[in-house]
Amino acid sequence: MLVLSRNPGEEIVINGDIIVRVLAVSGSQVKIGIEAPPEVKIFRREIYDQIAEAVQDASRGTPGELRRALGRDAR
Amino acid sequence: MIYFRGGLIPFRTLTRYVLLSRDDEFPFQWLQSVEVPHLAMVTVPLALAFPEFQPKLSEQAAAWLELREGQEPTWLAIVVLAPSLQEMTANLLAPLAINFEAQRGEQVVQELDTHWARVPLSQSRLADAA
Repeated sequence: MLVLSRNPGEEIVINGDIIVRVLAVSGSQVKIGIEAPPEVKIFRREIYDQIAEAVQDASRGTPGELRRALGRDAR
Repeated sequence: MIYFRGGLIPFRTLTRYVLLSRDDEFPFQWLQSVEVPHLAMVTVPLALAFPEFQPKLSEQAAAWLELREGQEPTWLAIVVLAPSLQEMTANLLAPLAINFEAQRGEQVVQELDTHWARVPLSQSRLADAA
Protein backbone atom coordinates (compact mmCIF):
# COMPACT_ATOMS: atom_id res chain seq x y z
CA MET A 1 0.00 0.00 0.00
CA LEU A 2 1.22 3.47 -0.88
CA VAL A 3 1.39 5.61 2.25
CA LEU A 4 1.42 9.42 2.05
CA SER A 5 1.37 12.05 4.80
CA ARG A 6 -0.93 15.01 4.18
CA ASN A 7 -1.95 18.04 6.21
CA PRO A 8 -5.54 19.36 6.29
CA GLY A 9 -6.24 21.22 3.04
CA GLU A 10 -3.71 19.17 1.09
CA GLU A 11 -4.73 16.86 -1.71
CA ILE A 12 -3.87 13.69 -3.57
CA VAL A 13 -4.51 13.32 -7.31
CA ILE A 14 -5.33 9.84 -8.62
CA ASN A 15 -5.30 9.14 -12.34
CA GLY A 16 -5.54 12.86 -13.13
CA ASP A 17 -9.29 13.04 -12.52
CA ILE A 18 -9.81 11.90 -8.94
CA ILE A 19 -8.95 14.33 -6.17
CA VAL A 20 -8.84 13.34 -2.53
CA ARG A 21 -8.61 16.19 -0.04
CA VAL A 22 -8.04 16.00 3.69
CA LEU A 23 -10.60 18.51 4.94
CA ALA A 24 -10.14 18.28 8.69
CA VAL A 25 -8.67 16.15 11.42
CA SER A 26 -10.26 16.08 14.85
CA GLY A 27 -9.17 13.50 17.39
CA SER A 28 -9.21 10.10 15.71
CA GLN A 29 -11.54 11.20 12.94
CA VAL A 30 -10.41 12.40 9.51
CA LYS A 31 -12.81 14.22 7.20
CA ILE A 32 -12.06 13.48 3.56
CA GLY A 33 -13.45 15.14 0.43
CA ILE A 34 -13.40 13.30 -2.90
CA GLU A 35 -13.95 14.73 -6.37
CA ALA A 36 -14.35 12.13 -9.06
CA PRO A 37 -16.13 11.56 -12.39
CA PRO A 38 -19.74 10.34 -11.94
CA GLU A 39 -18.93 6.81 -13.13
CA VAL A 40 -16.49 6.37 -10.24
CA LYS A 41 -18.43 4.67 -7.45
CA ILE A 42 -17.28 5.56 -3.96
CA PHE A 43 -18.44 3.70 -0.86
CA ARG A 44 -17.62 3.41 2.79
CA ARG A 45 -15.80 0.10 3.08
CA GLU A 46 -18.31 -1.48 5.49
CA ILE A 47 -21.24 -0.55 3.22
CA TYR A 48 -19.52 -2.07 0.20
CA ASP A 49 -18.65 -5.25 2.12
CA GLN A 50 -22.20 -5.75 3.41
CA ILE A 51 -23.65 -5.38 -0.09
CA ALA A 52 -21.03 -7.67 -1.59
CA GLU A 53 -21.66 -10.34 1.03
CA ALA A 54 -25.46 -10.16 0.73
CA VAL A 55 -25.37 -10.36 -3.08
CA GLN A 56 -22.83 -13.19 -2.94
CA ASP A 57 -25.10 -15.09 -0.54
CA ALA A 58 -28.07 -14.43 -2.83
CA SER A 59 -26.16 -15.92 -5.76
CA ARG A 60 -25.93 -19.26 -3.91
CA GLY A 61 -29.70 -19.79 -3.89
CA THR A 62 -31.21 -22.62 -5.93
CA PRO A 63 -34.66 -23.02 -7.54
CA GLY A 64 -35.36 -25.98 -5.24
CA GLU A 65 -34.57 -23.87 -2.19
CA LEU A 66 -36.91 -21.11 -3.37
CA ARG A 67 -39.82 -23.44 -4.07
CA ARG A 68 -39.37 -25.24 -0.73
CA ALA A 69 -39.38 -21.90 1.10
CA LEU A 70 -42.56 -20.99 -0.73
CA GLY A 71 -44.11 -24.37 0.15
CA ARG A 72 -44.53 -25.08 -3.56
CA ASP A 73 -42.16 -28.00 -3.85
CA ALA A 74 -43.68 -30.32 -6.41
CA ARG A 75 -41.70 -33.38 -5.29
CA MET B 1 -31.59 -8.63 -21.74
CA ILE B 2 -30.77 -5.98 -19.14
CA TYR B 3 -27.47 -4.18 -19.26
CA PHE B 4 -26.02 -3.10 -15.90
CA ARG B 5 -23.27 -0.75 -17.06
CA GLY B 6 -21.08 -1.10 -14.00
CA GLY B 7 -22.10 -4.66 -13.16
CA LEU B 8 -23.32 -5.48 -9.67
CA ILE B 9 -21.39 -5.36 -6.43
CA PRO B 10 -19.44 -7.66 -6.14
CA PHE B 11 -19.66 -8.91 -9.76
CA ARG B 12 -18.38 -5.77 -11.40
CA THR B 13 -17.38 -7.31 -14.72
CA LEU B 14 -20.68 -9.14 -15.28
CA THR B 15 -23.02 -6.63 -16.89
CA ARG B 16 -25.65 -8.60 -18.84
CA TYR B 17 -28.59 -10.33 -17.23
CA VAL B 18 -32.05 -11.64 -18.05
CA LEU B 19 -35.01 -11.74 -15.67
CA LEU B 20 -36.75 -15.11 -15.55
CA SER B 21 -40.25 -15.63 -14.12
CA ARG B 22 -42.13 -18.83 -13.34
CA ASP B 23 -45.74 -18.93 -12.23
CA ASP B 24 -44.95 -21.13 -9.22
CA GLU B 25 -42.26 -18.74 -7.98
CA PHE B 26 -44.37 -15.57 -8.09
CA PRO B 27 -43.59 -12.84 -7.08
CA PHE B 28 -39.95 -13.84 -7.15
CA GLN B 29 -37.87 -13.68 -10.31
CA TRP B 30 -34.40 -14.92 -11.13
CA LEU B 31 -31.82 -12.43 -12.33
CA GLN B 32 -29.71 -14.70 -14.50
CA SER B 33 -26.28 -13.72 -15.76
CA VAL B 34 -25.95 -14.08 -19.52
CA GLU B 35 -22.17 -14.29 -19.25
CA VAL B 36 -21.88 -16.86 -16.44
CA PRO B 37 -24.57 -19.55 -16.69
CA HIS B 38 -24.30 -20.68 -13.06
CA LEU B 39 -24.75 -17.14 -11.69
CA ALA B 40 -28.33 -16.30 -10.83
CA MET B 41 -30.04 -14.68 -7.89
CA VAL B 42 -33.58 -14.32 -6.70
CA THR B 43 -35.16 -10.88 -6.78
CA VAL B 44 -38.48 -9.49 -5.66
CA PRO B 45 -40.24 -6.31 -6.84
CA LEU B 46 -40.10 -3.65 -4.13
CA ALA B 47 -43.57 -2.52 -5.15
CA LEU B 48 -44.95 -5.88 -3.97
CA ALA B 49 -42.68 -6.65 -1.01
CA PHE B 50 -41.89 -3.23 0.45
CA PRO B 51 -44.32 -0.76 -1.16
CA GLU B 52 -43.61 1.91 1.49
CA PHE B 53 -39.88 1.86 0.80
CA GLN B 54 -38.99 4.66 -1.61
CA PRO B 55 -35.45 4.25 -2.93
CA LYS B 56 -33.62 7.31 -4.16
CA LEU B 57 -32.35 7.49 -7.72
CA SER B 58 -29.60 9.94 -8.67
CA GLU B 59 -30.03 12.15 -11.73
CA GLN B 60 -27.08 10.41 -13.32
CA ALA B 61 -28.67 6.99 -12.84
CA ALA B 62 -32.01 8.26 -14.18
CA ALA B 63 -30.24 9.62 -17.27
CA TRP B 64 -28.36 6.36 -17.81
CA LEU B 65 -31.61 4.41 -17.52
CA GLU B 66 -33.11 6.74 -20.17
CA LEU B 67 -36.14 7.41 -17.99
CA ARG B 68 -38.52 9.99 -19.36
CA GLU B 69 -39.61 12.93 -17.24
CA GLY B 70 -41.73 11.55 -14.39
CA GLN B 71 -41.13 7.92 -15.39
CA GLU B 72 -40.25 5.59 -12.52
CA PRO B 73 -37.96 2.59 -12.93
CA THR B 74 -38.96 -0.88 -11.80
CA TRP B 75 -37.23 -1.53 -8.48
CA LEU B 76 -36.10 -5.02 -7.51
CA ALA B 77 -34.42 -6.20 -4.33
CA ILE B 78 -31.93 -9.07 -4.40
CA VAL B 79 -33.04 -11.85 -2.06
CA VAL B 80 -31.04 -14.29 0.08
CA LEU B 81 -32.93 -17.57 0.34
CA ALA B 82 -33.68 -19.39 3.61
CA PRO B 83 -35.81 -22.40 4.63
CA SER B 84 -38.90 -20.21 4.97
CA LEU B 85 -40.13 -17.01 3.35
CA GLN B 86 -40.12 -15.28 6.75
CA GLU B 87 -36.38 -15.88 7.12
CA MET B 88 -35.45 -14.83 3.61
CA THR B 89 -33.89 -11.36 3.41
CA ALA B 90 -34.05 -8.59 0.83
CA ASN B 91 -31.25 -6.17 0.07
CA LEU B 92 -32.78 -2.71 0.35
CA LEU B 93 -29.37 -1.08 0.73
CA ALA B 94 -28.55 -1.70 -2.91
CA PRO B 95 -31.78 -2.23 -4.88
CA LEU B 96 -31.81 -2.57 -8.65
CA ALA B 97 -33.46 0.10 -10.79
CA ILE B 98 -34.50 -1.20 -14.21
CA ASN B 99 -36.00 0.38 -17.30
CA PHE B 100 -37.18 -2.58 -19.36
CA GLU B 101 -37.87 -0.39 -22.41
CA ALA B 102 -34.24 0.70 -22.57
CA GLN B 103 -33.04 -2.72 -21.32
CA ARG B 104 -30.89 -0.93 -18.80
CA GLY B 105 -30.40 -1.40 -15.09
CA GLU B 106 -28.39 0.04 -12.27
CA GLN B 107 -27.65 -1.12 -8.74
CA VAL B 108 -28.37 1.99 -6.72
CA VAL B 109 -26.70 2.12 -3.31
CA GLN B 110 -28.89 4.00 -0.83
CA GLU B 111 -27.76 6.27 1.98
CA LEU B 112 -28.69 3.79 4.70
CA ASP B 113 -27.13 1.71 7.46
CA THR B 114 -25.56 -1.66 6.73
CA HIS B 115 -28.46 -3.60 8.28
CA TRP B 116 -30.62 -2.58 5.31
CA ALA B 117 -28.59 -5.09 3.23
CA ARG B 118 -30.60 -7.91 4.89
CA VAL B 119 -34.17 -6.94 5.70
CA PRO B 120 -36.18 -10.06 6.66
CA LEU B 121 -39.17 -10.78 4.44
CA SER B 122 -41.09 -11.30 7.68
CA GLN B 123 -41.22 -7.49 7.67
CA SER B 124 -42.49 -7.37 4.10
CA ARG B 125 -45.97 -7.22 2.63
CA LEU B 126 -45.40 -10.81 1.41
CA ALA B 127 -45.42 -12.07 5.00
CA ASP B 128 -49.10 -11.09 5.34
CA ALA B 129 -50.05 -13.24 2.37
CA ALA B 130 -47.91 -16.23 3.40
